[in-house]
Amino acid sequence: MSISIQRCTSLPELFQAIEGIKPPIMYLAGGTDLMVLLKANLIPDSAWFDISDIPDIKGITVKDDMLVIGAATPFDEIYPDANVLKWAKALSEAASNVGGPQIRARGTIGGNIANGSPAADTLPALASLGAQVNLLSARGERSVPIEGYALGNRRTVREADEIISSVSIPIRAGIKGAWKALGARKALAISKISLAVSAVLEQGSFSYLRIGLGSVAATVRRAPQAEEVLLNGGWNRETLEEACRIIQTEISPIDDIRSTAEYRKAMSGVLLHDALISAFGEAPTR
Amino acid sequence: MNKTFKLQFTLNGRPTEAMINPSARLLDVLREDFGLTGTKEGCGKGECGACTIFMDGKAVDSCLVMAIQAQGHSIITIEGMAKEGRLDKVQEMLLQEGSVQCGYCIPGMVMSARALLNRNSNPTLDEVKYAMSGNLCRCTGYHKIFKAVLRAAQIEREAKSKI
Repeated sequence: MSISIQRCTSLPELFQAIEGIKPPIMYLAGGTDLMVLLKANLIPDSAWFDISDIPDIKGITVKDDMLVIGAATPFDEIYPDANVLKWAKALSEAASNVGGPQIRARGTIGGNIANGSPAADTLPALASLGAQVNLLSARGERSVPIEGYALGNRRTVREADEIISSVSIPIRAGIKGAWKALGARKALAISKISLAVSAVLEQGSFSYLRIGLGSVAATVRRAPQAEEVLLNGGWNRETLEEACRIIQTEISPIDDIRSTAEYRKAMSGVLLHDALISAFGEAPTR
Repeated sequence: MNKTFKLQFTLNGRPTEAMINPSARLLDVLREDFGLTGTKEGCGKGECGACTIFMDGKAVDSCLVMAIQAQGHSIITIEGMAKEGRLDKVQEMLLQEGSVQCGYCIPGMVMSARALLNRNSNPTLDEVKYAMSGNLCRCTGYHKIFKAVLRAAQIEREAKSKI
């Protein structure tokens, strides 16, 4: 195994450095996934470029009704951010639970997406929020919806010369949300299943509601049938029960090293129940 | 090893430079190039926290950082904790409380605890647990470690209120 590595501190420097480089190219930010693969000898001979100190892809801003989070922003700067708490509560909760403190200090939202794992903690939250992934290369910029970013486990739409520059989350007045997951322990365990809900509730009816699920398919996915129950029927005991029942029938998880299909199905209903009640602070009153 | 990268950074408060292997981990450069062997390697994949150091004041796992990523940054290791021959209050309390058994995890524990107390001088037990959830100890059961961190916080608060 041999790798080369070059440190880049600006986007022009990066794009110049990668010109003519033969893939595989690895973009190193927080290193919390790549360094683990390197240690396990699971990295092919490759050219690495350190993008952790490029200011243009760091930080959190609000512009034009969008919350924009730079791809190289670490989790511990995302979860306590006032704008993230206000406009993307589900994402804040997910980011505060990734790995442990040391992982959150280095690991980035862009890396969580780029890694292409269906177990990535922030993906269900981003799917519930209708986030866009912004890709940048010397050729230009493009955006893809978070649900279209991964094509399968570890396969994504990103081309070798592209980096994820940021994620954009539409700002929706009155949005609430929550993220829930189950793992072998609270910290530093890859989730057996994770679920996020983001919703706008107005006088008992939902004007916006999306559910994102992690670790139940090869990529992050939504729960359209459960969403429809709540969008059509509003917020009451009957719709809550029905949504938590139907979500178990509309997903088809697998048995793997971390859990079983049966457990994941059963827990999808429990997590949806807990996430909705946590998002709105109480059970439905009628 | 081909030491072709000139690393310039602040190490335990001192501006430092050295020629290093560009594809080395920060953990290895600290231990092997600088002889700072207080930082331990446990799992080597970010799950145990034995290699915890400060990078710009934040607790991070040095096994997950490439050495070249430290360029221009401030790194503090366990060797930088004692000041003028006096242990950090967290270290002192770990000794007093009898929190240490084999000791392998302790440098990492000290770094995570210090990072917490630097931003929160009055943590609850739950906040201590959250801040130290990235550090594993296979000997002690954690109880005495948490107790030492809470006592260190209390003593530092009392010292401050006297000034």
